[in-house]
Amino acid sequence: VSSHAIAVTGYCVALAAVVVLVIASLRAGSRIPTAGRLVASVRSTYLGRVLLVLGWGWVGWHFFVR
Amino acid sequence: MRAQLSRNWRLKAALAASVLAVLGYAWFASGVRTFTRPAEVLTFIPAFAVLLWTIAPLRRARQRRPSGSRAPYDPRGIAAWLVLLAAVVGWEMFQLFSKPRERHPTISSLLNSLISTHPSRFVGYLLWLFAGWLLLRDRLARRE
Repeated sequence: VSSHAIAVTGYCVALAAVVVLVIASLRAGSRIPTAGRLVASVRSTYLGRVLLVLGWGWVGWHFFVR
Repeated sequence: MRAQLSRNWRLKAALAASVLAVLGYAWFASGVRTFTRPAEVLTFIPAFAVLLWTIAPLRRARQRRPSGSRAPYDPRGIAAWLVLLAAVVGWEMFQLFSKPRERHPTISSLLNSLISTHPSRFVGYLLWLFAGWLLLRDRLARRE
């Protein structure tokens, strides 16, 4: 098995884990907060909101400029 | 009645024009070559606008924020997300610093291959703009 395949498999496992967490968080009475609630929690502070926007800006810069 | 209909029509026309403008901008911005001044400027404009809109009204919004608006979370539930985030960052860093680079792709290199054509890059740019709109959504709604 090539290093490339192992790397991609790792990302696929991570993606699967995200899906599992999302599904688990959407169940009634779940202790796991939804991704939306987590982001909303970060956005409820000045620093969190600014950091999220800077992170979003960096993503745009990274993929569409560099 | 007629005035109301006219107002509704104008609102719909303005909305349609805005959507078309965003689509046109995204198509144009996603079509320029990377590592060029146009790419820098066209990506900087929406990023700077969102940053300004985020920062500018924040002081007033903070004063208006009702107390107790943040719901408490179960720490174990948050830990699940943090563990996953740490694992992804760790895996990404491991790949980033491994040699040879072409055999150790990062999330960036995988996504870059997905957005290598203009149509797919256009979709990616639209998703990026949409994420920016999500960050501003409550601010925009508050102004209405």
